[in-house]
Amino acid sequence: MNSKSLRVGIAELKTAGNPKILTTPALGSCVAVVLYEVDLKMGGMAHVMLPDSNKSRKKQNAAKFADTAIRQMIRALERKGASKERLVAKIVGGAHMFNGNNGLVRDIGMRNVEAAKNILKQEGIRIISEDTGADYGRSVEFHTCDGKVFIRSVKGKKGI
Amino acid sequence: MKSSSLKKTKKAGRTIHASPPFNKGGTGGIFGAKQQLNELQIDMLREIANIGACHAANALSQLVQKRIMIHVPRISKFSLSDLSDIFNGPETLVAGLYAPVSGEISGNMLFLLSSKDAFTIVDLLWGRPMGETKALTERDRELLRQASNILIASYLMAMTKFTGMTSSAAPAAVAFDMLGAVFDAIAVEVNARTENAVLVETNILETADKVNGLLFFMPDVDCLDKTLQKMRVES
Repeated sequence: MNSKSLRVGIAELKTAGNPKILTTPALGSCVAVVLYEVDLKMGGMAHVMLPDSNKSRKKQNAAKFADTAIRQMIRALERKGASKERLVAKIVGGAHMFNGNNGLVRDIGMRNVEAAKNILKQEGIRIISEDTGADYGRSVEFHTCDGKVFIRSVKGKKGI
Repeated sequence: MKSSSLKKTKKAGRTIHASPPFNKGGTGGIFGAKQQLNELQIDMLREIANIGACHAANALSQLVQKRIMIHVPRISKFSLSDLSDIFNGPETLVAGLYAPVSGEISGNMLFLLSSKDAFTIVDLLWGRPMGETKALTERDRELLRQASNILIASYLMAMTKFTGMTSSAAPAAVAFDMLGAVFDAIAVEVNARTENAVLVETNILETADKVNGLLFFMPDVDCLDKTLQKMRVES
């Protein structure tokens, strides 16, 4: 991993200017929310674990929940000079990894994706592309130079 | 890993090895800052896990008709960073078999195999020549799932008998994917139900064909407290 790339771990969020590559390896039911400010070529990535901070007793780690992570990321980007109106979003992940036990495992992946979409809508941020759901994991690479997001999975490579 | 002074138990004509109690494993703060497990509690938990894993290994031994060994369970705080070192990094292809556990002892169970070891187990279960399985078909996945159900049920049944607490697993679900994505999904499951979980990790080894499976039991902390209290009262 070179100095241009920055790894975002589980329940973490990071912001970066240009040129940087924000990466998160192997998302399962977690969701990576990417925010990009086109004019300043600046962005952020959050590796969100759960949909809603209000349903948890421990809320210290804002980056763990879709609602608090997205809002904190917007504020962090705004502090660096980004304008909320120019932010666009891409979301990746939220898979339903485990098949075959008749729905006994709750589909948290889907709920994570829905929560992220709701919060982004409330904040007035447009989602320009997504690769979510299904039953396979995804590794994500976000390039701040052009806002491109690359995804690696057992299904192959793609860019969104 | 310790291989010296192995204890042997004869079961159903096959040998099960169980190693002696393990040292601490160097991971303190199992319950976070508020609750620390004391030495007695760690010993009790290890004993429960050992009995469970022994029975699971015995069940697997009968299924594949091979000698199965186990290592002594390693007990640590549930943390993904500790786990990312096993196998070859987060994008390694693995077979993960996951089952939620409910009852007086609740939590999660995960049986993890590298892709190569999953293929070997499938060969053994079908009685195919070694190396024939090179990808998992639906039927292979179903077979792995059933084998894991037996493995997990044996573990829990032994634990239930030993502790007098009820516990049962839902049917296992299978994922054949990147290691990191499997852990990621498990971490979400654990975090969605409890703030704190303990990770009890046991290596299950089939030595002839060098299969190394990892069995993880992640009991919820609240129920574990009750179990350990009950065991202390009774002992």
